[in-house]
Amino acid sequence: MVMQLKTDLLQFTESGGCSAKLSPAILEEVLKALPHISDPDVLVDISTHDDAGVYRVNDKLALVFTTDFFPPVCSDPYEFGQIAAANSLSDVYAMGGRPVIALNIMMFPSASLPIEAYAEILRGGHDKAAEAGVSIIGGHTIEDTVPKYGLAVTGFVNPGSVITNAALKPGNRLILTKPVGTGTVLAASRLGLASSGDLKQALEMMKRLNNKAAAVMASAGVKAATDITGFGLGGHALKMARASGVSVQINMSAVPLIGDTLLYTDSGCIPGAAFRNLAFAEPESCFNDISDYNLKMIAFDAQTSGGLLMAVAEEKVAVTLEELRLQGHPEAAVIGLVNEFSGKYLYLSSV
Amino acid sequence: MKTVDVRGLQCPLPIIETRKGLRELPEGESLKILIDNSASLGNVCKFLEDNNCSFVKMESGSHFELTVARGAMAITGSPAGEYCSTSRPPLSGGKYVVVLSTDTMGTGDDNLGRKLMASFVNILTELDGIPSAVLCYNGGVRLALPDSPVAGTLAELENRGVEIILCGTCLDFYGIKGITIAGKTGDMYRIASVMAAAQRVIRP
Repeated sequence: MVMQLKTDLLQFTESGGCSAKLSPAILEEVLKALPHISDPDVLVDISTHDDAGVYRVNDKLALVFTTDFFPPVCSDPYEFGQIAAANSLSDVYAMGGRPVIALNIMMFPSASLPIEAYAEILRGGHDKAAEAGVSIIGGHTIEDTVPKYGLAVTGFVNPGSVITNAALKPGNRLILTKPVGTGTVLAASRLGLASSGDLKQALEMMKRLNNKAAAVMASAGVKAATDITGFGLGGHALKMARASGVSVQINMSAVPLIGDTLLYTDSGCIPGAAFRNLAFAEPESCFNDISDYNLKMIAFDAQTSGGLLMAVAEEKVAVTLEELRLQGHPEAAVIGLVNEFSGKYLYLSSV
Repeated sequence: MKTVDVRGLQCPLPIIETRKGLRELPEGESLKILIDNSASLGNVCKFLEDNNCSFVKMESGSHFELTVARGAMAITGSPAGEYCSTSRPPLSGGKYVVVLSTDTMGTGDDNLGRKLMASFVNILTELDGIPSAVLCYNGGVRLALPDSPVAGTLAELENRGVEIILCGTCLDFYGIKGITIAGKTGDMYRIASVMAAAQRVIRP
């Protein structure tokens, strides 16, 4: 009798999801050397480290264009496909756009994994795209020893309603739509430290589309937002502050966390990506008011398919929070404030 | 001197072992950490620096040796000695683990004990913080049987993300494997590690 073994994608990878991103410090150095883009129809490019590029077709229509792919974050191929797709689509939502079409990007070891796993990853991606109303109209697969999957996504946006990293205004409140801790919980889970409930919650968070949060954001007239992924909450907030020329203050005690993330961090389960992100952010950050080391490291935990971080005018905070909760984001919380630039881009605090 | 050897370990195990080593270090002793790759070395050094643990770094052939002296203060503002000057730093959060080692609560009358146990498990769902795990062993596994007054509550807790672990050996012993309606089977290793990782273990 042949035993049918369940495919476990995690056997292939040490660091999955967005924590597999190249170090932000290295990336920044390399991108600096690339030729500057001068096409006036390019509305957003890599210079502001935004979530996606934006290209103006005419006065009413611009394309939001982005790609993202990574090695497995979980054992199950179908779930991995869903998470990778939700993560790729998120960049379009973070720009205020509506994703329309996408292409699959896949690397797959056909010699060491059953072809059913390939099919399941794709099925997960296509199901998630369908949930978002996106058509996947092609793709490309190459052989590689470690599987990797993601989408290249094109979305539509009105050129006048592009939401960027660079539009934070002093006085804005920062709302985060999903709890933080996917990197820590996944690492703890691989070591047998995380509870099954926490792993389940992390997987659910990563699978959750940011489409409804994006709709709420549009109705609240938000101009600046990003999605939280590999650079962690602190890293992405810093990038926004720098692009906008302001200081961002984040109260880590107010940040919603997945399950026992704090406990896992306290036991030393701090993924390497958090140290890379911290090293990137530290020169431009102030940690004088954060008394809890664990919370500081959680601020730099690399997230996969994280929530939206949006800057909301003070008078719209209550109604926006209420609407987010009604739209399937019960964890949404106000976690920070935008101030005039005061020496550092990022200020972390804890109670 | 105590030694923590993290050679050959992948991230984040070197930090976990360092953390554990510091936590368990007896008063007045120092800790030696052996590390063999530069990524781990960087992370462990940063971890120690950020927690104000002073240390000496030495290269020793194919690996590095960090010697951590005790008595430093923890990161700005946090309780003194979070890592270095007390042997048992306070844990954050309020999660706890419940152990059900029998289907009755208290000693005296078993009928009363069964009622008390039912009441206890039901009240768990109403507390501000539900447990992170419920461990059932010996007679405790019978609480997950269909005719138990709390099997439904255990299933509800499980749906809310609580890990319900039923001791596999005990299910076999009582001949009730496969007919429980809540929880997952776990071995003693799982039970012991959940207990060891818990901030508090509650046993009614």
